[in-house]
Amino acid sequence: MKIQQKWIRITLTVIFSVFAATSIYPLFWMFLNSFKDTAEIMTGESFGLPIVWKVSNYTDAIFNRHILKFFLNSIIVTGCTLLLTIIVSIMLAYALTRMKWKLSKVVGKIITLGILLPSQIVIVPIFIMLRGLHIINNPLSLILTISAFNIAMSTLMCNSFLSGIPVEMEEAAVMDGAGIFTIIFKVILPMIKPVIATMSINIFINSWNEFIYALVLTNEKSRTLPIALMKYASGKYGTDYGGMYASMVITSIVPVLLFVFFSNQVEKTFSAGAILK
Amino acid sequence: MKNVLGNKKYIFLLCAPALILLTAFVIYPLINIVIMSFQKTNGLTPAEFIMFENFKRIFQDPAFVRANIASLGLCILAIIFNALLAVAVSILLCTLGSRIQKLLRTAFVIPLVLSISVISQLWLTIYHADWGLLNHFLKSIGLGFLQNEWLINEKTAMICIAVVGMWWMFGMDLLMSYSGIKAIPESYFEAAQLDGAGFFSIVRYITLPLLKNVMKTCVTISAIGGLFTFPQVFIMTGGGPGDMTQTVMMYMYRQAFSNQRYGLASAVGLVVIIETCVILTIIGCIFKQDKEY
Repeated sequence: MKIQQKWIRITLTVIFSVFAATSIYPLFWMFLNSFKDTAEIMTGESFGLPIVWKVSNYTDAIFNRHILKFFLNSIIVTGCTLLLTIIVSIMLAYALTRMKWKLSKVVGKIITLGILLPSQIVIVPIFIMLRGLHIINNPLSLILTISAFNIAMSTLMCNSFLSGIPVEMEEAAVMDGAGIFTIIFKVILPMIKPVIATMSINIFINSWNEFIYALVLTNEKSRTLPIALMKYASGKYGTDYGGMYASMVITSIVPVLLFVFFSNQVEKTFSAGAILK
Repeated sequence: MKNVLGNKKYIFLLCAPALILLTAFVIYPLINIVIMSFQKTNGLTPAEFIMFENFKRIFQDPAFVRANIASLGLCILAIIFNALLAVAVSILLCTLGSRIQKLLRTAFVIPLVLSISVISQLWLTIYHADWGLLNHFLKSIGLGFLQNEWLINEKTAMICIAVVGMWWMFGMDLLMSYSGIKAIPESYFEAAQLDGAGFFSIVRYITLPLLKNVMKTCVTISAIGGLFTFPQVFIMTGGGPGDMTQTVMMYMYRQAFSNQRYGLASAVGLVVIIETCVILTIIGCIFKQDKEY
């Protein structure tokens, strides 16, 4: 559907462009500020390029403020969450869509219901439970928690994809005497690659950006990037805003690269929220 | 085939890991939150049952009532400015050329992939009274008299918090409704245009009715997102000035992790769960009634 009148289209384009600029400019501002000296930032001349490009904001963050350690923590948590969630939810999705058992409908319903409740609501019981198990401040606690909350969405995504795949391949595999795990990991896995990509992006973004659980379940040592960032601003020697912007850029670099290289996949992932109905 | 797919042992093996995780981290905590809301507990000493004392206390606490109103306000704002605005924008966006569509979509989606922690830190400095981007911008377009201590001023603090969440999540609703519109066959629009239907009647009678499911999802997601606003408040204002920007999640976090009143915090959690269910039911009703006329 196209609007014919040219002037309407031009006005719309202009309005939306301004709108989009407010969405993108703050990020650009953050990027520029990450190269500025703190004193320069605080003069309030917010527009324009840095007078001196201060790369030391980055080197300082990396070498003196140990941002790499937190980066590594984030990688560990995200990587393990990704692996665990994907394997576990593919297995569950397979059992739900292909296999015949009495409770499969009930389990499917419970998962759909659970998807709508935000994870943060149960933070108090989870904190007490994990403290009782003495795995608080251990990356494991964060990995298990985030995985558990991502299973529902991943399983649903996988479900809808699996039900569109014909069963012939699996039947042939069974004829050849393959066991269930051979079927899933040798036959099914190559066929559902597209949905694995969508699931991965979803889980990646959720766990890389996880805030409230990372806040409660980590300490000085096991902190992930979003939490480490929060403590950055209040340094020993007054607030180091330049360094803060630099570490914000470091935190954002992975998701942004992901978006740059897989923009279509990322967009598909976010619009997959419509799966809920 | 049958004895592989009907094999009880296999089914058990496949489901067990996921269901154990779900039970331990979703179902068990949910049951626990109900039990704990009737208890007085700090998590260390044995809990004692005090029945409805927790609920009585939170409803008598003006801070909780205010936090609740704030969260509901954020929820309504998110429905209007995220879900409904996104639907409107995406309908209009689809009338433009495909290259500009891609460009604008990208601009709206990028904030979405960033951590809310980064976003909040960024907006904290945008609102900074002395050198923030917002005040500087107002000065440079000659609206200097509007300059403000955005997060300290009681009148503006809450709006500022709301803007951050909406700015962050707008792309999500936009993408959902955009792909919803793209899923409508182009031939519907062409047929309507051949019959001489104008833009508004096409939107009214074709796009919106076909988009109802997507709209429902958008509204649901935005409503929940607004109701559960937490990181923005935690990072940007910590609930202040006074209790002005405290949301229910912030209130719950404070009760649990600053005051060690886990029982009270669970009661807050239970109230919020019930609220969420009510809101979801209302949304469900609104979008169902439309269907029948």
